[in-house]
Amino acid sequence: MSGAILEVRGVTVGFDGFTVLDGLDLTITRGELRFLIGPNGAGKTTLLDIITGRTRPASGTVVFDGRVSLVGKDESSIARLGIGRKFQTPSVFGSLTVVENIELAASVGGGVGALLAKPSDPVRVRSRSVMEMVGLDGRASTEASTLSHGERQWLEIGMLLAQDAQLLLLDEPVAGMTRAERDRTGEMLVRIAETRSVLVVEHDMTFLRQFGREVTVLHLGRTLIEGPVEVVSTDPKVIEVYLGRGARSGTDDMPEPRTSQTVPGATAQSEVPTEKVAARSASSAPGVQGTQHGRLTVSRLSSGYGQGLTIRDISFEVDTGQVLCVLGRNGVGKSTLLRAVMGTLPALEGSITVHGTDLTTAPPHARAQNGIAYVPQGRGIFPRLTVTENLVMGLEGMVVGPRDSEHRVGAMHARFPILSTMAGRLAGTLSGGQQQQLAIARALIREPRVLILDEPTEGIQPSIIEEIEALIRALRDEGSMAILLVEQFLDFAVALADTCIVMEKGQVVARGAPRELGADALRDYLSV
Amino acid sequence: MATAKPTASSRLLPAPIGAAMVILLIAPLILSDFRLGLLAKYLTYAIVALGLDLLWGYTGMLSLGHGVFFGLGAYCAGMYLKLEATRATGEAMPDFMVWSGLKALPAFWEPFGSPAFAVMMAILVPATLASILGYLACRSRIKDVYFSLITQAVALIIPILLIGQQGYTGGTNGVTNFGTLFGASLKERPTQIVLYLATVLVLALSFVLSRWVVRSRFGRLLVAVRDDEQRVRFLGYNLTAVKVGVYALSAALAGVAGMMFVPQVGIISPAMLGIVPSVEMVVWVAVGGRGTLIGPIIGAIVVSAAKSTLSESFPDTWQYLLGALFVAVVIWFPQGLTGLRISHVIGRSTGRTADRDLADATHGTSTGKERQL
Repeated sequence: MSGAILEVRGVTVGFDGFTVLDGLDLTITRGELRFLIGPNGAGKTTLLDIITGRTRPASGTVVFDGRVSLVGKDESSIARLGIGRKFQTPSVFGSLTVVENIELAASVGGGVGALLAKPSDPVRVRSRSVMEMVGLDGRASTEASTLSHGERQWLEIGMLLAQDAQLLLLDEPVAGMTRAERDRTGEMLVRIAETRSVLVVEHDMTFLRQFGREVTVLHLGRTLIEGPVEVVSTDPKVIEVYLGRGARSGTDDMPEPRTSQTVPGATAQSEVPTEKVAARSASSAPGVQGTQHGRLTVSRLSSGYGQGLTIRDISFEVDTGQVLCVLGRNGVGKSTLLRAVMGTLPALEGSITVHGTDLTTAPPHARAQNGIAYVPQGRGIFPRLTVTENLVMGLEGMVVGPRDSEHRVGAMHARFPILSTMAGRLAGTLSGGQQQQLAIARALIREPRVLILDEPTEGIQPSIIEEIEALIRALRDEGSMAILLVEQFLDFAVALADTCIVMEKGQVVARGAPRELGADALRDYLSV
Repeated sequence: MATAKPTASSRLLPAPIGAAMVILLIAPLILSDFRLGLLAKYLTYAIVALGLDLLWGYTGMLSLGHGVFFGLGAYCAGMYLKLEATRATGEAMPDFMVWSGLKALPAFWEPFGSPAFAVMMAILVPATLASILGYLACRSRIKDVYFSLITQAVALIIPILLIGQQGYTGGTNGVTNFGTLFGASLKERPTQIVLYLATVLVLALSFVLSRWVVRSRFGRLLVAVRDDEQRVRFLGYNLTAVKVGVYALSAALAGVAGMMFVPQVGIISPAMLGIVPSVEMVVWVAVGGRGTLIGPIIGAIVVSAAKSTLSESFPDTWQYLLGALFVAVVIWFPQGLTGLRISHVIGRSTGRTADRDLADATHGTSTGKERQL
């Protein structure tokens, strides 16, 4: 019992009149590996902000190591007490090498004199062992900005170890990782928890299930339930607010990242979509109807930054009422492809046409006016504008009268009821899932002919992923636009796509209907 | 690991820099009094540029008010020179004080009769002012463009203050009419050569100091602040101390530069520490290439030389030409002049650091990120 490394008692905090944490209690035992889940907006990040001194609670206490009160201390003193925090998006020093990043973290507290001298032996030794621990010892002199996404996540974890944090707070450490990387991270966390305490915020239930540890579910700023992962994931309340109804149909022990557990239809991905694809390709088969509206044709497209070509010779077509999904690991050129399609990168070769109009050299705004709408990765909402202002911003550059504008906003409210209830709130105060819905609505309000979505499920709770999936399916069936989806979440992609193209090293290495390609083959492309 | 080794200790100065030093040292044998004086002035600017680069190029804090620190250093030196000139003529106090109707030498002027005190103040006054400003800004978490605006406001206020206190500061005219330094006439060529060589020495020392800082882990910490301030704080570093430290160091270098400037140019006035000269200092660094130590030195000399040459040759249009030059450099060489593959020259001898510094200097960070999306 004496071993509580962190005790949060009755913490309450609110912003703009909204209560974010409401008398929250949380105890982490020394040497524990604890998981924290909850819907977007439940207060998980705010809790981390309070523990690390970024936000002050209105009331309540936070005690570290049984004796030190953290409330009122600033970030750096709390860090020096032994609390390390990894942010959701990896935050490492891009211009420094791996070893420099680690050594800086290991050199905290030595004063300027020590920093001006050469690294002492303890610093070197600790840095070396940390790099081994996180598997980056072979990458010591690599500049951090050139590391892969997963490696950067590991580097950040390594920095927390190097600063000798006794309590590690990790915000979505496996977000955006391939399955192999997740497994490695999982092993890493278990090893770290042998000597330190770890609190992990995560959305990935499959990942949690591997560990079989205690899980705390946060909802509306309170603890909804706390217990072993098996108990929590079958709790009706958790399913209701977080996992979504699809959770009931899943099998628990599929070894897959983000399995069927979270997405309806995905369990049966080898059967259900099969019929759907067959039926769909029969109806819109030779593109007779498709060409009427907004067919997006990309032909032999090459593009890149500076001299090098990042993507090469990419061709595909998406008809109205169809979903094309671009799959591939981090760094294979998916985002580059979208940039080239949107016109923020020039096409060096090839062509892009929408509905017969050649847009290859058109600037981005002209592409938008020709009916391409883009939902960027990370959502890109305007945090200091209200929800409605964000929506109306989507109409920029279009000739829309006030009545029409009102009508369109109304249509979006009908599609996304949550945006109607939050119409007057600043978009920056919405949760991640709500912001994602707003971003999609802001694109749809233009009534586009081509909708492009870049990783719409990234960092989103399972139940909202379900809603987004239902929405995209509805848009597809309405048949008014062609949809281009970039995803890493395989089950989501497979459930929606008529056609998948798989990218590797900037080129298309496989294409076809998901059932033709086979879920296993797709999975292989995405792992390792 | 091995690449990080060849640092200050193993190679104090790489070959091309050594060659540049030789050229600077034989310059007095070749140049006329007038040209030598100009070169000396440019070299003092190079010292300011070095300090500004530590702050902006490495740490990412853009100061638009470095003219103030340069000016304060210059005033400290000017006060000593003025008192020496006054003593030589047997007057009780400097001429401008008499004109302003002061009855006696103000108390704060007295200690400036000691050269050691004046030198100390030329370093301490700018460093202290920078520490106070830096502390206040960091405490309120003011950063990026807001920090720049505050520094600019200081560059606006201090000249007004100096002009308003005519009796103590010489007002708009500033402090001028010096005669001698340690009894040697400032107009004589030998004195000029000694001052010039002293400037070369101070520049070399400043360069070595900056290089040592930049290559240590403290230098990495500065780059870390530029890359991700929040992560620095969450690692447990006292961000305020780091920022205040580098700001004070940068201001001290500017103060030293001002101190070297005054005896060779013979005047310091409020116009030399306002917004325009402060922005010019930023231009030196940008043109030369920020995030490299050699770049700002080259930038300060090239831009100032271009200014002199153009104003001699095209008295009517030189300002437009100079403006066009800046625009051209920014558009075509966003990494500054050192981006012109000089990394082949410098890079080979200083190893990885120079190359990487160049990459850092501009969009290196952003394209780096994009490349591996």
